[in-house]
Amino acid sequence: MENQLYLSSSPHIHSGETTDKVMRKVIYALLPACAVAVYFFGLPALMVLLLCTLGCVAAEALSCKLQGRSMTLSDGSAALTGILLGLNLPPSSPWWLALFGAAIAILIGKQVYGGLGYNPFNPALVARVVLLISFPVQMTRWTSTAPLGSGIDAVTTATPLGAMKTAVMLTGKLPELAHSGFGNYLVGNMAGSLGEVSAIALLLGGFYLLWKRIISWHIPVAFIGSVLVIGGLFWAISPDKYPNPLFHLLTGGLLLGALFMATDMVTSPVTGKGMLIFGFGCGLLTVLIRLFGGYPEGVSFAILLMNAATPLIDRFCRPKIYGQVEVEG
Amino acid sequence: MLASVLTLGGIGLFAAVALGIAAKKFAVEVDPRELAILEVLPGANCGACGLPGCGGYAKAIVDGSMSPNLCTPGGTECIEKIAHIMGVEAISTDPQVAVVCCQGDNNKAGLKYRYLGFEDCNAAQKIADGPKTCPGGCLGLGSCVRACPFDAIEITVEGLAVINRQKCTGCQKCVASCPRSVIKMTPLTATTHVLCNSTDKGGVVRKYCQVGCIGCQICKKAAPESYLIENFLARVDYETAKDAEVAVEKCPTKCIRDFSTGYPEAAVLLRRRCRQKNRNRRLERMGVKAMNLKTFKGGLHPPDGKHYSAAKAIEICPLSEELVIPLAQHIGAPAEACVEVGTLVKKGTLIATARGFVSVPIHASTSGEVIAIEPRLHPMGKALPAIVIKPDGEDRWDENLSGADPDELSADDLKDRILAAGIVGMGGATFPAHVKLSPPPEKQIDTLILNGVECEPYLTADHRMMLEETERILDGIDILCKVLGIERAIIGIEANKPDAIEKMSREAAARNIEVQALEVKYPQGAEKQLIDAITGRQVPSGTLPMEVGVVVHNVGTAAAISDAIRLGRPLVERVVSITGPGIKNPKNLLVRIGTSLQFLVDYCEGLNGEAAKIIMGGPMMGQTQLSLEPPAIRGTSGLLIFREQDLPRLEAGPCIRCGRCIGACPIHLQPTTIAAYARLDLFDEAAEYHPLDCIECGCCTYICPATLPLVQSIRYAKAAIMAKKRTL
Repeated sequence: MENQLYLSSSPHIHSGETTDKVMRKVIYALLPACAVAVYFFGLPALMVLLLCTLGCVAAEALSCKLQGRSMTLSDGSAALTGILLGLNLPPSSPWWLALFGAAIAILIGKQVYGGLGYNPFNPALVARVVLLISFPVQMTRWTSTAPLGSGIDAVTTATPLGAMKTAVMLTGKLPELAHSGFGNYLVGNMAGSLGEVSAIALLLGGFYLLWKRIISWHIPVAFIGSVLVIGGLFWAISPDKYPNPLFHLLTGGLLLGALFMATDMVTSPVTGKGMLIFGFGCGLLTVLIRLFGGYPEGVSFAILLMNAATPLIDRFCRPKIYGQVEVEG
Repeated sequence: MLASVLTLGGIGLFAAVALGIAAKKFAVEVDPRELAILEVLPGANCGACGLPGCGGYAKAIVDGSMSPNLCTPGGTECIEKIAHIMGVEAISTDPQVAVVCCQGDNNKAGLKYRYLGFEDCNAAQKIADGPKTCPGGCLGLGSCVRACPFDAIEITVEGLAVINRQKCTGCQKCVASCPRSVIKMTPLTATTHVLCNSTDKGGVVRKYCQVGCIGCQICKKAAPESYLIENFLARVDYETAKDAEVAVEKCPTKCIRDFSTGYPEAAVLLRRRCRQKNRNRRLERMGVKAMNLKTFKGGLHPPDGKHYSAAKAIEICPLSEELVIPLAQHIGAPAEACVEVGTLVKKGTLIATARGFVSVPIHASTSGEVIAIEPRLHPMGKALPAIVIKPDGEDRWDENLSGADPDELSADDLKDRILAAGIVGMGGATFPAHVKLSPPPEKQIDTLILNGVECEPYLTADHRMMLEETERILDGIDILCKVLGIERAIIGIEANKPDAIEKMSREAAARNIEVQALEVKYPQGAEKQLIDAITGRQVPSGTLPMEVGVVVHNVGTAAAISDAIRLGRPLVERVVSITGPGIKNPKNLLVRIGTSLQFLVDYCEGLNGEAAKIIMGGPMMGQTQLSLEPPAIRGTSGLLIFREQDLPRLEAGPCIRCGRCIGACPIHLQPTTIAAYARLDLFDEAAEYHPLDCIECGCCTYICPATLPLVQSIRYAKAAIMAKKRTL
């Protein structure tokens, strides 16, 4: 009796690019950075990444269950948050820190706002900042790299940005490491969070995302560009006191932040113009925090602050509508 | 230490004093009765009294402009209290409760199609009048659930709205939200109701519903005072009802129910769980699995699917047994039939006259006899008046039609002939051509653009026309130029039709007509986008292309105009691409207006598997059909058949704010923002984002990773905003 035909409003075809595929591609783009992290920091790094990912997936499942919503694990966003969080933690993070962070990211960072699409702040960064403030000791205990199979023991050391901050505070001058060692920074042979060490791996992933049109160029270019220009200005004024822009670019979380965290679609503006303002704001805040703030690194704070500004930016950067022109004559 | 305590204390003291003074000085006098009434009112701000909120109502009672007995949610108790406060006698109203007059859930009532899209009854009702076969039945998509301020309505697992009588306060919001008026207000004391809303005859009702009222009168015989029968539908006469429940057992279709004895069976379910299950069930029933046939690269280059029919030369479609020629085939007023049943007509004989300026006449597509003038299933999805012709098989043109040499006719004569021939835009919009050719004198037209873009995927009718009918198209362009009194004509063709560009350029060279190749990009063929691409001019919002001195016509229209002038032949046939993966042998056919889609499919050797979606037009803007019964009409540029496996997967997720819809929108709107407001029925807020400028090209929905039905939501908002404008 029933008609087996479908009726619907047009259009009747779809690009096939769905949310889960977008998320999956971002995860693929992060794999090189994960591989480098595991290579330089060994099994503890793998542990941290796995714990964060599993923790986020479990937290998402739990919260869907508690709220009686349909399972949203298949959209891949929870796994992505987990990987991003893992890449934002020090390699020596204890297991409970990773799990606690995962719970914060999903429950406080995302689900309380209504889940995917509604969170104003990047969940992974919310977790990172909560951990940084609550557990400063564990969150700033960095280890030197100990490549797999090299037999070297990892020792506690400072990140280049941390070392710079300390030296500038104590002596008022830049330490030696701000002028050399750029080759190591490029491949990732330095202390730092799991995901921020290798510029090459991050760029590889970033270009993949640009090529697949998952992200647009606006935020990374505005973010990195403004750090280089503003950092460069300070450097030009006083090269003894302020590091050169390349140091800004290659150390710390700038590339990870600019390519993967600031470009999170949910928490960044929707128009090109808005993205440029957003990226510039991130860059400005990052440099200011790095050079004048109490923390050595400012990328996460900068992005979170700009996340808060996103609704405002969107409001003022509406696209110009076709046909809203003056009638000639 | 002391200093800081004093400073803080001082600031605190100063602020407190200042606030105290301000509160005294600027105090607003409020009638104490108003506050007392506000206290008594339920505070739901439901609007049942006719005002937007309880505060306003309290004020209106106090100043005497409204009666105190209008708050139905508050009930008798509330009214008595208000009356007490106001010192008047209570005039009680009978408490009312809403009843869903339908039991035809998905197991009991038939569907005429499977609906996909925005889960809202009002949106679904716009597509062929809703998926339920019954014209009055509950659609079960939950518009009333969203409208109810008291959480008193649930949708059952089987897709039927059910009202919780304990929670319902009689505010009538649901009544207003229901597109089919299936929810009725009844006295709370009455417990027996006829749960059917179909006014069809009994035999018709039986065909689509197991529990519909068939108008059999048995209830009226059992309790004569209680029942009225109107339009084959029984209803309880609540004024005089007495022992209405005696008919419950007697009703043959069990559509009379007594609520005091435990209806509804589906009572009250946990809504969240219910909605979830409901959706899963429905998807399951529709046989939807995770389907995702093709993976396309991003951007706005939908795979064009033109390979199915691009190389097929136009064939003349044979004559069918019967031609159904609808009176509404164009934008504007439908034509008016000027023949009667039994009239003998020839091909091209006038059978319906234009009504008004924006309207065109309609002609017989073959010779034969008018056998009926009656409503027939129209491609719009409902039965609309049509003239049915039984061909005599000779297909002879009317002898009275005669052509003329366009050089010997004046512009006005030409325009009259174009109107008389019933020429409309052949690209699919079917806007009457003569209207476009009649710009007011103050509008200087300097450019004629011919639309040969055909950016809709799959369609190849214009492409074939340009290859095979080049001469007629160019002749039509010359005539159009003469009518408009201009020199400049440009044909825009997308670069994916190099053969057409080559042929048109070669033949147009001798005539001083330009051919402009265009980048392949949907929706380049939309009028405003085409003007922008070719001339760089933007048509101001809310105006026509003539505002910027441009007139756009489809290449097919030009060819039809050439025939209308030189041969005197009206528009009675057109080229249709019958295509898509669901067609065995896709073709481009020259089709007589009125030929049924079934006949066209049969001529193309039938379906290639089972059809899941029948689309008239292209896949981006075409309209889905209830069956293959409707005829091809003047705007039918294509017939596209998809099978189950060709359809994209459907489950919509939350917007991830990726901004792709904004990048894809050719008008630079923010589709996701408009759609979000539309889903919440916040039309004033939606209006700020210019939904009326939307051309409904479908790019946003096509590109949306969350697979949200964005265009449909925008259409919904547009309709609501337009309706609001009309009532102002």
